[in-house]
Amino acid sequence: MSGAAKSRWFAGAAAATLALLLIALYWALIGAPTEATMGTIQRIFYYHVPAAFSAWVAFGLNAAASAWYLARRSPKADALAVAGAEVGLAFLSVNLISGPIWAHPVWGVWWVWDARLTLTLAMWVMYASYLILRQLTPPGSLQPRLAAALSMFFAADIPIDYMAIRWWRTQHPAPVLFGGPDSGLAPRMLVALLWSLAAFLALAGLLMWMRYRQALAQDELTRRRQQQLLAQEA
Amino acid sequence: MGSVIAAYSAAWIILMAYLLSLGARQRKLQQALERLEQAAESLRAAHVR
Repeated sequence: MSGAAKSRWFAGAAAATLALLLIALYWALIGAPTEATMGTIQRIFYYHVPAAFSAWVAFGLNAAASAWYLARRSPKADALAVAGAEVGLAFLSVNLISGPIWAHPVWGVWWVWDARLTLTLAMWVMYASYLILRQLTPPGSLQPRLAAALSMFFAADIPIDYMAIRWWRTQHPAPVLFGGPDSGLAPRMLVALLWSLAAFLALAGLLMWMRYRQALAQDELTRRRQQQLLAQEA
Repeated sequence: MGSVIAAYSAAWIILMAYLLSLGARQRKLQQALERLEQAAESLRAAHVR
């Protein structure tokens, strides 16, 4: 794909993502009915859940790219792994901030150390440390290998975090989707959730694409700097 | 409604701040690449002389 075609594709994807975000906002604030027990505050759900889901997808991509890197030592895989970790962390931050804002009026506390909340916070700390490690170690063959190996361990938290509210009795509510015969959502609530999910995933995809291109450009810059140093020495 | 607005605003602020930081990093990278091109050009010119 040429540079101009890439720019056109990116502008189109950005416009589509913005449209999705606006549609999702309409459905979350106006289109979805007000929940009977909690009232308006339940609308936080339409940002809280898609943010967590997008973070899991991004971290899953980070794990897959890390495995690809360990197998093939491809710079593209490493770039994809960085993109997944960084974007996942941004979306998990949204989830971790919106959660206590929702919890405080409903539970009477900002935070409880139950399985789901603790595992989610642990996930945030793991991927933050992954990115700090990448910043602190000098660029070279060891840095991406170390990061990829760590990512393999961190990825174990993704399915455990997802299953936490199914395996253990927690303060966090039971799942509303894929949670057995007692789970489910009113049809218009489900529509609002699906729009939000689509919008968040589109935004996550767009941000990962930007970060991926940037990581590749950074590699190119490092490579050219090394070449220039060699040329100056020659 | 205040909590909903707070949660939604926090989400938009975090994601837009990240988007802006990506844009700023992109500009820096672009400038660094351009500087490198210029340096390489002058190095080539010096070799020719």
